[in-house]
Amino acid sequence: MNPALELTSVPAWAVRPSTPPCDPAATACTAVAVGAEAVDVATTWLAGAVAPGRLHALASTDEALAVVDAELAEARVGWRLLVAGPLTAVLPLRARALAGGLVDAELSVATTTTDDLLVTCAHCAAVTSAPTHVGGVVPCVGCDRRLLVHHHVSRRQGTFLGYQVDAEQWGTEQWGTGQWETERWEEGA
Amino acid sequence: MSTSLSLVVAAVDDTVPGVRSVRLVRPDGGTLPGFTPGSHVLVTCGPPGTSAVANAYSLTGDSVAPRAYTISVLRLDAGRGGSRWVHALATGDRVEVTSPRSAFPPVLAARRHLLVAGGIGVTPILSHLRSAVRWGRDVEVLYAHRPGAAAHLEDLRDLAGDALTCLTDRTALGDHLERRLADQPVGTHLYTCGPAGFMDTVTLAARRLGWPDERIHVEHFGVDDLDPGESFEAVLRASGRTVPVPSGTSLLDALEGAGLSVPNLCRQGVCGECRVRVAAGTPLHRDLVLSDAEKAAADTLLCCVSRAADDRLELDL
Repeated sequence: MNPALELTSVPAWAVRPSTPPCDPAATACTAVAVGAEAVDVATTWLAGAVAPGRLHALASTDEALAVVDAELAEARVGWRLLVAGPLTAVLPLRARALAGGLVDAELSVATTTTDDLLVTCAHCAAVTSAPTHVGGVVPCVGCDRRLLVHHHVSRRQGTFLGYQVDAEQWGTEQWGTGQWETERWEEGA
Repeated sequence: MSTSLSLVVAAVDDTVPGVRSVRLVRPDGGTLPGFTPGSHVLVTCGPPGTSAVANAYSLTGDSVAPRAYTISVLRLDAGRGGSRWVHALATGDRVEVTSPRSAFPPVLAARRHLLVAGGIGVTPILSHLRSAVRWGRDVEVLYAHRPGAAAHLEDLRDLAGDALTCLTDRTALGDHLERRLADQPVGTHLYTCGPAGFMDTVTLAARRLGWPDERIHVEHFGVDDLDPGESFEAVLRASGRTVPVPSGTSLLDALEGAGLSVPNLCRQGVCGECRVRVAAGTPLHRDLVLSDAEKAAADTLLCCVSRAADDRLELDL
C-alpha cells in the first residue's frame, strides 16, 4: 500500500502532467522546454510572467542540462526557472538546478507526460527508463532483477528508487537471475 | 530547557561609547560548548539565584572549542534594566548564562552569503563572518552604523577586507542595498540583524527584488513595546479553573498570579521557553519564535506576549 502522495518525496507533477504558473515576484525568468509539446507549456508560463523572459526549446535532456548549467552560472537572485518536458527529462533537470543552488520557490516544473519513469536499482545502481508507475514492477537493465518502483524520487539524482519486488521470498524463481546471491550462498559468504 | 552555565567575567571592553563587550569564561578556564554561528545565550541580568530579566545576546567570538563567550551589549537606559546591569559588571563577577541556542544559522549549501548588519545587530553577523572566513565561503558584508565609532568595525575590517561596505547615511544605505540585492549570484543567502525597522527595510527590498523567503534570514534581538491588549479569560483544562487576564497584564503574569508555575526565561517573546498548548480558542500571536506555520496551526502560544484573539482561550494546563 502506498501512503498519500503529499507525505512522500513524489511531487504531484511526477504522477500527472502539470502546467504551473510563474511566480509574480520574479525579476527575470527562463523556460527550458524539452520536446514540442513542452514549448506550448513554456510559452504559457512565460506569458504569465511579469518579468522579461527567455525560452529555450531543446530536443534532448542533455542539451537542456547544458542550457540550465549556463543559465545558472549567469543568473542573479530574483530569477525563476521553468523546466518543462517529459518526466524523464524534468527530473534530471530539477536535480541539476537544485545542485546549482536554486530553492523550490525559484523552480517551476511542468510535465507533458508521466508515462515513463527513471528507476535507480538499489542493488546494482543502474538506471532503467521504462513505462511504469509508482507501485509498478520493471526489469532492471543492469541486473535483470524485477524492481518494485518505490514511492520515493531522489531530488539529487532525479530518479525513482526501485528494489527487488520479492526480496523476502528466498530461493524462488522470482529473483531476477538470482545468480549473484546463489553464488555467494554456495561460497558460504 | 537549556543547560545553565555559571561563568566569570574575564574582561570588559568599553572602547565604543555605549557598547560594552564582555568576555565570559569558565571559572576553571576550561573549554566551553561550541556553537553554531549566529547563536545567542540568554544572560540572567542579575545576581545568580534571584529572579531577574533574561536577555538574549549573540555570541561574537569563535564558535569552535571556545575558551570564552563574548557578547557586546548596547546600553539602553529606557530598557528593563538588563543592559544597565551588564554595563555595571566588573572583572571577576559571576554571570549565569544558558548554553548557546541557535536560531540564526548559516545555510551551509549556500553559494554565497550576504550579511547585512544595522548598529548593534552586528554581533551575530560577526559570528557568521568568522565562520565564513574560516571555511573559505564567499561572503559580502554591509554594515550600517551611525557616523563615528561603531561596534566591532575593526573586527569586520580584519576579517572581510574589501568584502565590507560601511554605510552611515540612510539614503546611501537604501541605494547600496538595492544595488547589491539586485546583483547577487543565484544561490546567495541573505542574513540580517538590526533594529526592527532596519530589518523590515532590508527584507522588503529583498522581496521586491524577487528574493524568495527561503533565502532571507532575520535575527530579532527584542520586541518593540507591545500594546496592552484586550482582556480575556484563560480556561485551564486540567482543573476547569478560569483565570481572568486583564488588559495590560500578560497571560504569563496572570497564570503565575493564579499559582501556576510555567517555565519561562526572557518574558519578551524571543526565547520560546513559555510555550503552552492551546486546547480551544484562537491565539493572538505576538512572539518572534513561532514560524508562520506554527502560528497558523493555532495549537500553541507563547504566554509571555501572546494573548487571545477573542474573549476566551482554553489551555492544556
